[in-house]
Amino acid sequence: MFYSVLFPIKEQHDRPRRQSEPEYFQDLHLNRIFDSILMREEAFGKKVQMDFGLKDVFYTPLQDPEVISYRQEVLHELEDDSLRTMFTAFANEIYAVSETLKEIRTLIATMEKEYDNYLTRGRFLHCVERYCNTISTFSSEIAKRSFRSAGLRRFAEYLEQYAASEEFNKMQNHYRRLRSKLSSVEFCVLIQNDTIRIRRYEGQADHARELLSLLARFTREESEKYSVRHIEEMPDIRMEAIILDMVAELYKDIFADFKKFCLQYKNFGDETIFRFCREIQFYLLWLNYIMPLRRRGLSFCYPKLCKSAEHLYCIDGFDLALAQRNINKPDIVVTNDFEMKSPEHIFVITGANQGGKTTFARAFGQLHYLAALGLCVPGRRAALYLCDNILTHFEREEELSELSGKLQDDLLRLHRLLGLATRQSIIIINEIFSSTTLRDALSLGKRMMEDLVELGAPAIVVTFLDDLARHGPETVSMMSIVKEDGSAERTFRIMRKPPDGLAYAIQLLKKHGLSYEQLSGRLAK
Amino acid sequence: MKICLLFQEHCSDKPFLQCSTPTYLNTDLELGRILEHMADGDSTIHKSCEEALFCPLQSPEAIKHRQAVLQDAFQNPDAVRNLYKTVAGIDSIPAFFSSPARVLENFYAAVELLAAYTKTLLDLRNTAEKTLKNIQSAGFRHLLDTLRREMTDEYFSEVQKHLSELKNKDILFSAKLGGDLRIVDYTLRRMEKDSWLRWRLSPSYTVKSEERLYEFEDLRRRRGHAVSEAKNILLQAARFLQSFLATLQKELAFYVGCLNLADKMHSLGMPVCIPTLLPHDSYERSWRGLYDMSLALATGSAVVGNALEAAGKRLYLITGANQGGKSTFLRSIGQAQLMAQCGMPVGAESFTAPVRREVFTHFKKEEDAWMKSGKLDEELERMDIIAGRLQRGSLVLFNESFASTNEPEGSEICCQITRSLVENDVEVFAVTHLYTYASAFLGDSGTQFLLAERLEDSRRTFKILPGEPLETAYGEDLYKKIFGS
Repeated sequence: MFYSVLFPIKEQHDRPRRQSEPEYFQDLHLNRIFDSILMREEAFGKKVQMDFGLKDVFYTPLQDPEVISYRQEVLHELEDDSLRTMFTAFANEIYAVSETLKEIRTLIATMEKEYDNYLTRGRFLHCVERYCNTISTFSSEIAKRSFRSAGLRRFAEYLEQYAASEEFNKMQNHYRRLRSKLSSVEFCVLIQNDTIRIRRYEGQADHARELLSLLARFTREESEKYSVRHIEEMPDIRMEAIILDMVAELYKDIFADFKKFCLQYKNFGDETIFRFCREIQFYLLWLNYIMPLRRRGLSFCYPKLCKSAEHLYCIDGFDLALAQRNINKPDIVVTNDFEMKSPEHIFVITGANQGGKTTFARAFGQLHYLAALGLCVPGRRAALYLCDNILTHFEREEELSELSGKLQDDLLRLHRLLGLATRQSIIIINEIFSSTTLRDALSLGKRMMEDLVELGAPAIVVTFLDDLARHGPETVSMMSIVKEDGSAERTFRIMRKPPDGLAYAIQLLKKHGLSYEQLSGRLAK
Repeated sequence: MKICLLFQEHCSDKPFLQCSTPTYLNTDLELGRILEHMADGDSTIHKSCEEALFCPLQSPEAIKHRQAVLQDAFQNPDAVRNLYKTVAGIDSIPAFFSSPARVLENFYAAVELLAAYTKTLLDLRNTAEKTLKNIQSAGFRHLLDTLRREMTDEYFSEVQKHLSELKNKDILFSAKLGGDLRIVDYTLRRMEKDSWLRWRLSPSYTVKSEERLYEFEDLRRRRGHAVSEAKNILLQAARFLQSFLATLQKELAFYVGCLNLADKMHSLGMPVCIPTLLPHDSYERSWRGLYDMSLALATGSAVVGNALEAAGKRLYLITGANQGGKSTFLRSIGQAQLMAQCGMPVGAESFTAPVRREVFTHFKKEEDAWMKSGKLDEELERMDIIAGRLQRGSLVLFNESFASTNEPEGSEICCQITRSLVENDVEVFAVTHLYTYASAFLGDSGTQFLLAERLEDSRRTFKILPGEPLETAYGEDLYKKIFGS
């Protein structure tokens, strides 16, 4: 029996999940990624939480390969555009219905007489309409398809059974009869000073239409029609109910049937379907988030998750948070590869400042986190470590007053980090010991390297100390690369390379792109 | 309903190219003073002329169209000024129309506004019919035809009749029930005069006095809903008419500005002419009595003009006496080129030049003269900006550019830049005292050398005449003073 699209069985679903961000979220800029997924920007730049109650799912990385592949399969299948469009429309609509129903039921539970009227019943009727239409349309659509992933296949079976059930069809038929009667109602309203009167409509002429033809010569050439459909003010709901009561006087039978319907079906709706429509947003939010990046030619892939760190790699990976931030800039997002083969397990990254070193380290951490959620990750191909924890050491923003204070803080944090780490963890250390003397930094750095070697877990060390890159067979030296044409421009590429040091100077004309050749090239365009 | 005083009726989408460096042009060519005298205190004229000036037209035909309208304006100055006054007086649509909270008020205000706009249109037709004489240009003929066609006396009275009916405060509308049973499809209906009796027995509700305020407010909103569509139609028409009238105002303003400038120059005893524009691919230039309008306006007196006849030249190198009128000469060319290309009169006895895509200026910045370091960098940065926007077929005016470094270096920079510009169909005028640079082009048939005249007794005539660069710069003293030896 189908229970959840996020976990194969109910017991896994019921296990407790993290309620808050893991510690390393900020360091790895994972908070930026998930904030833009879980927050929606509304008018005036106001951000509103739109997390479908899924925060805990995004905050809880998995270690069970079975659940990870259950999710990977569903996500992979949803990458099909037509399938995703279908599921998105379905899930959004049913989710909205369930939220509205919740609200109506809360209102009615307050037992306020104010809500016992045709307006509340009208909202309820609208929910029934949306629910029935959505489910019957969608179940006939998915009946034509077959599904590869267990998650979607089992849900499809469940839904088809539900849509064919007698209970569902009885409600739908009753609803349709009622709706067609209500649609035939058309009435006239006359407002004079403080009095409002209602009659059936008797064919009076449409005034706006007449104006339109009279003034056609002043509207016809305007390319942009002036029709700001402003957010109409909500009329007062009490007055709306009073008017509906008057209309009910004119159409007695229809409104009696309406009342009966509402009473009969007050508890309609299926919990499993509601849950599915909420939980599938996990996949839809993610795919929507990465779609613009894919369109810019960036690759995402389903990583192989390895229990041992024998051979880890990623081709064309990138920092997702950075790529997302630069999505509207014309520059190409730089992708980088890494490969780690036993006995190697520590990347030491050196090279030009602002050359993409920290970005590379973040991307490494992000890849592992995203993979552990069962998501696809930046890159064309990847084999990643099935880790028990990600441990990071990044420079703290706050300035400590004394250098010794800072060094002490560095050491305390490093000590704590190594205490928590196991062979199954991922370690990311960014610019440690940058505030002490070179001599101190070198000797402490060496010790740290020895500890990391002994631990044996995959690690990244970003540093200005070239020596650490030559530590031993466990280390892989990587460098941020600058162009070799003399311009010394940064490329933001990080490659396997023994450490060196380069400065850059640019000739004046060339710097401005104004030499004879450069300028001629610019003008020839 | 289109107005064609500035552009041909069937012109291409964008017959002009917006200048990419208007700030440089404005400062370097001293255009501000010219615009000021065109506007004569009227901000609409200022804006309209400024906009036109920085959007040079791209074909001789488009320019001829404006010149014909200008010719008509020169023949009918009073009529043109009167038409301008009529449209300048209209009310604009108040900002509160975009506020959804006041639909009902906006509806009644839109009724009034439309009444006013249609009346202005009628007035315009009457003024144009009575005062415009002997019209030759397509632009003014089209305007007269449009007014005659769109605002007949009969149509005017029909609109007024309808508008007065809409002022009634009782409102009748029909409606239906929406999906959630809310009342939808508010449709404004015309009241039949004899229907009152039928309404007496219908269900009704009268607002209770103790709850008057919010219930009254609700009825007001419903009336607002009912007129909302009608309001949109009225407002759409009002916006259309306002934009028509505003466009007319803007286009007339351009010609009133030209009239003002011509009057002013004549009062100083200086000529203005309607120039002749040649196609893009031409490299012919000829003019007589070309002068710096801004200088004449600043001094309030007549100034020296220059003449030139040149064909097949892409590079003009101007050297010679300092304070000899080289910058003034360069400015007069820039002014004339821009003004000619937007259909304005030009400060010369006659002026013939090809159409250019854009005009760029790269002038030495006086205020930086003492900041030797960083200045060259600033100049190159400015050139970089220009290069980023420069297209083939443009005109670039250099005034003592890249001279803030030593002679060989400055010359090398100038040569590299100038060569690549000229070879890529960019026309260049350069004022320079860098002899190495200027002499590098000696013997080149595409280069015209010009020299600021200085008499034997060192007096300057401010005349710029054909002549090759002389190795001894007259301004050596000045150069030493500013840059050190």
